[in-house]
Amino acid sequence: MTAEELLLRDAFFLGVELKLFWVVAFLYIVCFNIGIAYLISSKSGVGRALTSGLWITAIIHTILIIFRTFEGMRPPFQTLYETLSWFAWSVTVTYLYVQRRWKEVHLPGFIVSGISGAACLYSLFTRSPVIAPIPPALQSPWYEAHVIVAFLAYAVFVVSFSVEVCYLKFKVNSDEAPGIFGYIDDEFHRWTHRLVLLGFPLLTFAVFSGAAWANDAWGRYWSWDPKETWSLITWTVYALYLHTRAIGRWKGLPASMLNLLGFICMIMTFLGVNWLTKLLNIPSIHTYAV
Amino acid sequence: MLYRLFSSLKTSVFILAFMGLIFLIGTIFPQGNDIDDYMKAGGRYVALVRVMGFLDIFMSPLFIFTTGILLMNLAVCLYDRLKIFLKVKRKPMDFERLKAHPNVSTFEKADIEDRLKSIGFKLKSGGSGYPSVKIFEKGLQYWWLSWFYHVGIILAVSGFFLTALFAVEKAVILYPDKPETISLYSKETRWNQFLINLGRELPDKSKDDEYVFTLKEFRTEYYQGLRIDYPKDKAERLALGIGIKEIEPSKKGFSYMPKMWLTRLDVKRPDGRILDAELWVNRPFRTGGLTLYQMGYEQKAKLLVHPDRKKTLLGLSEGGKSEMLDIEARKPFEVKELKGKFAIGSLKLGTLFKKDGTTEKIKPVTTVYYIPEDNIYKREVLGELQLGSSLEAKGTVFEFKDYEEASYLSYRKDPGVWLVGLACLFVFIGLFVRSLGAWYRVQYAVEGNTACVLISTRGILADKDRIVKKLKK
Repeated sequence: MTAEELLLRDAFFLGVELKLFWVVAFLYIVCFNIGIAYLISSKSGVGRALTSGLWITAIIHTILIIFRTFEGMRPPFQTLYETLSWFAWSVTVTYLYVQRRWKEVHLPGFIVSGISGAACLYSLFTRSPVIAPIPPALQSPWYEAHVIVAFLAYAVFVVSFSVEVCYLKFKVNSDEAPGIFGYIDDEFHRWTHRLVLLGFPLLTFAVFSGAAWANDAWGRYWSWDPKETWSLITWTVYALYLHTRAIGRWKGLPASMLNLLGFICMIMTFLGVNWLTKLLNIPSIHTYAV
Repeated sequence: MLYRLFSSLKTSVFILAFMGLIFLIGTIFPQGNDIDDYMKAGGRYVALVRVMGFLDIFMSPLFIFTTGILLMNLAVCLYDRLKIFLKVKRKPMDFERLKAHPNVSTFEKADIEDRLKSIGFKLKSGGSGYPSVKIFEKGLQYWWLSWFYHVGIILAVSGFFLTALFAVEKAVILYPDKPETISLYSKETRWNQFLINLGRELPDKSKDDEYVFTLKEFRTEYYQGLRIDYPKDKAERLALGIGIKEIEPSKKGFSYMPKMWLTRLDVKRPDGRILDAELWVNRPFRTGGLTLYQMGYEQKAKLLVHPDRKKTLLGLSEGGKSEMLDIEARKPFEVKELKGKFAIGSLKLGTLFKKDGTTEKIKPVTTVYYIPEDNIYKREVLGELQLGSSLEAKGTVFEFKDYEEASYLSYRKDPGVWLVGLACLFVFIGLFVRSLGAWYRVQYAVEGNTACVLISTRGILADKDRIVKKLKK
């Protein structure tokens, strides 16, 4: 095939992949709406439909991720278009893995589908889907390890956040808990802790591997760049959460608040910092991630 | 009093929260900026920013003081916990309390001790009295893991300080056949500045740290990539998504996507040895204390500019006085008697790796931009300009006459990096095993033919039910 024919073939595959991504985004939004219905009705059947819907979406999203990997012949998390899709996928898959333990608990799926759907739509509406080969800055053995582990940590934190919100909802409306959610109330709080306990070493590895990568690429393992500093803020907030969990009087609501704050910081590290640097006109060396 | 304060977990929480706040300030105020730039950009709170050093907060006394306090807190906590851990005595609970515990499991058979030993539990304490409560444990002791990774944090922060005090970092631009001499010695390090402030006299140069670099080759390579005219409008994007429109390659042709920037050079060491060095982005070159990094490139172009002239069939028409400009890529330049500024983008040159597997030498090409007077951030594309050809825009003809390309390298000596690396490994392994690794403690006692067993666990992989099942088998 000539170079021109190959470019035409790439355009065709890109079109197919783009349509599939729209289907995935649509399914997340459908799941989110089922979640709203579940929140209002509290009917177990609706909850099961939400979880089943997320399973179907996750399967199609997995196909999309594999398709994009073969299309680009490289890991599918290089541009923001790709990382948003990767983020949504990791969050959903992590949630579904954790959710298997609670047969009749579906509410966190409402938050997970909302976050994943928003990430997909943000990617589709604001970013170009064009596939670029790996640029020099990303050609490092640290690249895959850093991104995969960072997004795994993010996924675990999103699930922890979703479960924490449900826990707080029961704490506020404690009369709702029996019947629908049964024993699960305090179990939720323990699970958020276990999830952060898993996410924290992963985030630590992500920060360290990022520093090792920066040391090879820029000759400086730490530059106090806004993205680096925000990752340190997120790390500090989750460290605070884990410490407060060890202090008797603070292990309840104060710890929950720190978990929510950790989630906000994580979103700032991933997306918000790009907005902040533009707003305040602060230079950032992480422009390839925008 | 002070010891109790510093060995408290609550103190750690407050210090960490304050550190978090300082980090936050560091992302709001542009670090490394001058106070004048801050004022020009409309910055408020000038007095506060100046006094607190918010524009260089990670080197400010506030930050150094807080880090010092955190280190002290960590050190006192570690000493305090060490004393406790070394004297740790496992005191089994009273039998009646064990029996009444809500999480206690009971077994009919009384051969629990043998079963526990067979699945890897070790006896740690045998209680007195009857029935005696015994303690068995399995797994790495989590309190030691926790202690070790906190030591790692102290080492990492110490490494940070070593870097901040002694690291030397500079850049060098290498043009072909123009050797450059650099030195890893600098009077500008924070430590040397500290010594100078103490009245010590330091030499300006040190021959023992000098290296000579001679560029032999600098190479840029590009991939051929698909370029599409992806619409900006959201409705049009949706139309592509649902198949009303189809994606097609752009009529403007394909795109050049950077593949590699590679430098080959001779490095003459202080001992006189000459090394053949090859480096590219993410693959630095190391020798002795020197590490050399590929940062990018610098490109210069010679443009012959003819104001008020037009391209005609017979060549260029008469116009204003022509001018030869030496300009640097991506930096704005002016053309006499014309309003606004101009700029050229990066020159694309080197080798193109095409989609069909073939390669092609790129004829140097760049894009010419116009920067209006009223908006210096705007870049209006005037067109593409190839070596040896011309472009007419804004009543001016630009002719691309020649170019020059240099390798942009940075070099560094950092005595703190090995300590930070080692400490990070320490912290990560400790943290990972502490969080995931399973640790069990079993307290049990036998009364008649009934065994009361209380299991406590740590670590995500710990599974209490699995142990109960094994004991029931």
